[in-house]
Amino acid sequence: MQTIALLVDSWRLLANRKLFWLTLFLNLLVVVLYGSIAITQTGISLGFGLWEIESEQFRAGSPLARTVLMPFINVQIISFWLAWIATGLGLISTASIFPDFLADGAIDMVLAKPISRLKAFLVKYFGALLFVLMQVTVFCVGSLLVGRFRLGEWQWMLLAAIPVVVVFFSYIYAVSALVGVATRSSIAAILAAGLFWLGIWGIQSAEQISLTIAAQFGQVAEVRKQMISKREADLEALAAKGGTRDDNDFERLRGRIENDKLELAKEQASADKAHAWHDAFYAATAAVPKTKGTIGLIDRWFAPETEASSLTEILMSNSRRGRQAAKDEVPDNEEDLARVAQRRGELEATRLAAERSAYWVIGTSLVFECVVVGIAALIFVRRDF
Amino acid sequence: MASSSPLAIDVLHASKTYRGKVHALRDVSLQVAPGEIFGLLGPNGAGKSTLVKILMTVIRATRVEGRMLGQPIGHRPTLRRVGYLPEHLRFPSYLNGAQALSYFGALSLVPAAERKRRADELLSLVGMANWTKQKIASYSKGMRQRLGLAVALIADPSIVVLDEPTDGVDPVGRKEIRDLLLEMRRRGKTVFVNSHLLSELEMICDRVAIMSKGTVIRQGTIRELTERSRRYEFIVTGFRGDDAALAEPLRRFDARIESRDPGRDGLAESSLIELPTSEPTEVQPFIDLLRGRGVTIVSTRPVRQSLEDLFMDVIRESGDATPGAVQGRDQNASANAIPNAIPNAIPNAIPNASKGA
Repeated sequence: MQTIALLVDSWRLLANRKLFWLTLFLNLLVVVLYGSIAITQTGISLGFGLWEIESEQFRAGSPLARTVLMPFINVQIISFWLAWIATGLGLISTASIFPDFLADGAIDMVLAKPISRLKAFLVKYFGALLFVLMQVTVFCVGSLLVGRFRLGEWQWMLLAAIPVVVVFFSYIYAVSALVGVATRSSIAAILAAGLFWLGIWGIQSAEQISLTIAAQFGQVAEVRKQMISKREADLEALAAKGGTRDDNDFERLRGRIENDKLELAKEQASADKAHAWHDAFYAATAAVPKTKGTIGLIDRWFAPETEASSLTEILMSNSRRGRQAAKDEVPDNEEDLARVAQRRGELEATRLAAERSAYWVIGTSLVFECVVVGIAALIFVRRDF
Repeated sequence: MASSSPLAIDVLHASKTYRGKVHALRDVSLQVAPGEIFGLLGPNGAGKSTLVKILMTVIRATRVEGRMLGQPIGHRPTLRRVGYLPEHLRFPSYLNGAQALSYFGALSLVPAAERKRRADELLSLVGMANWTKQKIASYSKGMRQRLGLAVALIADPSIVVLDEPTDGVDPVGRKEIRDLLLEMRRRGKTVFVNSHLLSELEMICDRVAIMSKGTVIRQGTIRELTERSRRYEFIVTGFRGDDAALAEPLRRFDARIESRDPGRDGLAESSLIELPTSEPTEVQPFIDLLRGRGVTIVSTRPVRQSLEDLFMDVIRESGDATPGAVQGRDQNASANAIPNAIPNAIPNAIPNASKGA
C-alpha cells in the first residue's frame, strides 16, 4: 500500500511538470519524423515522399535495407535522441524530486508514518526512473509501430532499448539523487549530474582513444615483425639463389632487416607505454558507469549475424572483406606499414571493445550505481530532518 | 513488547546533541496521560520541536528512554496510531486536498475504503469540504493548516502531535481548531500541542511543560503551576491607611494595599487590596472586616497569574528571556485580560463588579 502510494505520488509529481509533457511531445515528434522515412521500390523516401534517394542497395525487398539500414536508423535515433536529448531533459525534470521530498515540513510528514526510511528512499528513487521509463516506452513502442506500418518490419529489438536506456539514465540519476539528498538543492543536483555525465564521457572517450592508440602501436610492432619475417624469407631466398654479402640487393635487404629490428625495439617500447596508459584509463573506466558501452549494446544487438560486431561497423565498411584484406596484407614500405597498422589497430580496438560482455558493461556500471545509491540511502536514513 | 504503562507518552532522559556540540535537549523527561491535552511551551530554540521530532522519528535522539503508547520511543509501527502536524507544514503542491489525505492515509496503512470515508468526514470537520478537488497550490496558509489537521487525523490516531497548529490561521479558524482539539479529547484521544500561543493553550490544556535551553523547567497542570500567584483582589473606596483597627487584621491576612489613581475606576479615590488566597471561605471574614470599618467594596474577584505571565517569569528566571522568546502572542488574550491578572471561572463575589473586569 505504501509502495503504491509513493509510486502514484511520483507519477502525480511528474504529470504536474510541463517538462514531462514537453519531452513526451518531442518523443512523439521524433517518432513521426521517423515515420516520414520509407523504403520504396527505388530507394529511400524522406519527409513523407518529399525527397527520394535512389539506391540499388537500399530499396524495398533488398536484404541490406531490411537487416542493416533500418536497424541502423533505429540505433542512431536511440543513441542520439534517447541517450542524449531525452536523458538530459529527464535529468532536469527529476533533479528536484529529492530536494522537494526532503524540504522542511514535507519530509516530516512522510517520516512520521510507519514506513521505513530505506523503503521510502528506494521507492522514491525508482519512482523517479518512471519518468524515463514512460518516455522511452512511448518512443520505442511508437517506433516499433512506425517500423511495422511504414517500413514493413517488426523491429522487436527496439523494445530491448527500453531497459537499456532506463539503466543508462539511472547511472547518472544516482549521482543526481545523491547530491539532491546531501544538499537538498535541485541546482546542485543538476550541475553534479551534468558534470558527472561529462566526466564519465571523457573517461570513456579517453579509454577508447587510448585503446585504439595502444592497439595501433601494438599492430605497428606486429606488422613490423611480419615485415622482418618476410624480408628474412626474401633474404634466405636470395641466399639460396647464390646471393652473397657482396651483392647490393642482398646487402640492402640485410640492412633493412637490421634497421627494422631497431625500429621494432622502439615501436615495442612505444606499444608498451601506450598499453600502460590504456591500462590506467581502463581501470578508471571499469570503476565508473559505462554510458557509451551501455548504449553501444543496442548497436551490437541490432547487428545481424555477421562477423562484424556492430551495425556501425557494417555500414562503415568494416566488413569481413575489409578485415581480411587488412589481415592479409604485409606492407613493404613505411607508408604502407602505417596504413595497415592503423587499419588493423582500429579493427583490433573494435574487437577488444566488442569482447566486453553486456554483463561486464552493465554489471560494473550497476555496481557503481549501487554504491552511489547506497551512500545516498545511508545519508537519508541517518539524517536528522 | 507492549508495556502496561498507563501513560500515553512517557519520555525519559531525552538528549540530543548536534554536531559541533550543540545541545538541543538535555535529559528531558515528561509524561502525558491518555486522553489529556498537553501543551509544550518554550521560547525559540528551547528544544520543543526537537523533542516532537524525536517522538515522531524525524530526528534521532542522542539518548532517549521511555515509551509512547506502550512501545519504546522510535518504534515505527506505533506511528500508525499517532497523527502528526509538523511546524512549517509543506504539502506537495501538485496534490489536491482529497489526494493529500489519500496519500498520507496510505502511508499510515489506512485501507482505501476507509481513507475515502474518513477523508470526506475530516475535510468537512476542518471546513474544507468545498476544496477537496482544488490543488493545494491554491490554498491559503490557514487552509493548508486545516488540511494538515485533517491529515493528522486520517488514521484515527490515539495520539495527535501538533506543532504550532494555529500557525497562520485566522481568529475564527483558531477557535475552530481549539474546539476540534477539545472534541478530540472528548473522544478520548491524547493531544500533544507545541505552540507559542500561550493564551490558547491555557484555554484548552490539562497540563503543560515549559522548556528552556533544552530542559523542562516546569511541568504540571495550569492550576499547579499558577497556584502561588492565586489571590483575591478588592477594589475599595473609603479605605484609610491610618485606620489602626485595620492594620493588625491586614497584617494577619498578609494583604497588600495599593493606592490607585483618582478616577482610575471611575471613583474619586480607591485602593486595591490583594489577599493571597484562592479559598472563598477565607475571604468572607475579610469582607466582613472591611464592611465593619465602613469601607465600600466596589468589586472583588479571584485572580491568578496568566500562563503567559508565568511563562515569562519562568523564562526570565532561567535566563532565556531573549527577544522574540514568545512569538505570536494572542491578540485576543491581550484584549481580554487585565494586565498581570486574569479572572478564572469562579463567580465573582459582587456580580456587577465583574463586568468591569
